[in-house]
Amino acid sequence: MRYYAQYNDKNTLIAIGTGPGGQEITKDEYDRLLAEIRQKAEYVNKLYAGEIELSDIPADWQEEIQRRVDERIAAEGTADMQDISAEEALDIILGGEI
Amino acid sequence: MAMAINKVIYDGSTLIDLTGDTVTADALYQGVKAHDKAGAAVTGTNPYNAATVDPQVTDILAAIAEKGVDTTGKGLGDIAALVAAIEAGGAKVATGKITPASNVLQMTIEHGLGMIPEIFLMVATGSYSTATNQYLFVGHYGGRSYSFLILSSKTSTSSYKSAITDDPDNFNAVVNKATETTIQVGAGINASYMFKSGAPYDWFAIGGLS
Repeated sequence: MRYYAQYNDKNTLIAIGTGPGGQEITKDEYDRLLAEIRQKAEYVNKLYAGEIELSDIPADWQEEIQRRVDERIAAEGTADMQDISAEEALDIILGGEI
Repeated sequence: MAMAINKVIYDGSTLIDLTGDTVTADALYQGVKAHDKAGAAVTGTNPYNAATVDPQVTDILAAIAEKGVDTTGKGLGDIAALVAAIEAGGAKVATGKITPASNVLQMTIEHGLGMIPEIFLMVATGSYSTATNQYLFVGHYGGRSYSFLILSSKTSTSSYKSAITDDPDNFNAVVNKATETTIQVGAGINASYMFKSGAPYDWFAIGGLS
């Protein structure tokens, strides 16, 4: 099986995969990049949700993670602006706890 | 008849605001009820109902079978058998997997098929549980500018969503551009992020069917 990494013109990793395309890499490198991508995605999700602080993230990843969180906020709004359930909405309307 | 309400402000705080919603009858499954951005009740007219359709098997295989390939007994649960059936029908198939490094609205995939794919199928691998809103779709990039099937991953949402539509704005995936070597897939303009960072998407490019 052929493994590859795909970079943009700023040499930023944009994807990894199997099949044609990109720059061929070894399976070990593919596995390492996959683990890194998923770890960063988890950091983005947790920082976005307010579950962690920026200082909880390794220093050399902080700038990237913060930028990706900022991009997500620009696209989707902040986590506390996300949809509330019908039950929560009804509770608010009826004067329940906010 | 009660006046439609699309925004509720109480004590200076906006409690409900539908004014930015994009719900339309044709974007909702048939019979599903909701309210549009004006606050008016709408009832869905889209016939592809999650409760009655198993799109992972029927719609995708039907799309392939329409091209004269015998897909009897084949399904996405046995990709190798499906690919073999397609190839036995005289078509050409290229397969691969792509995992985006960040949430992205569109991706360019090098399929290497050597011809413009007539069907391009992407399957979000549901075992990656932290990736939500994954989508699975098949795009017919033939004589029509946009015609595609979008299916959400069963395992990520516990339900199917699907639609065949010529309206890419209100659905989540389109084939934007295809060549003999690459295909660009992306979100409709009203969608937010479509491809999730870290989620593996298997893809199949199929050509030579017609």
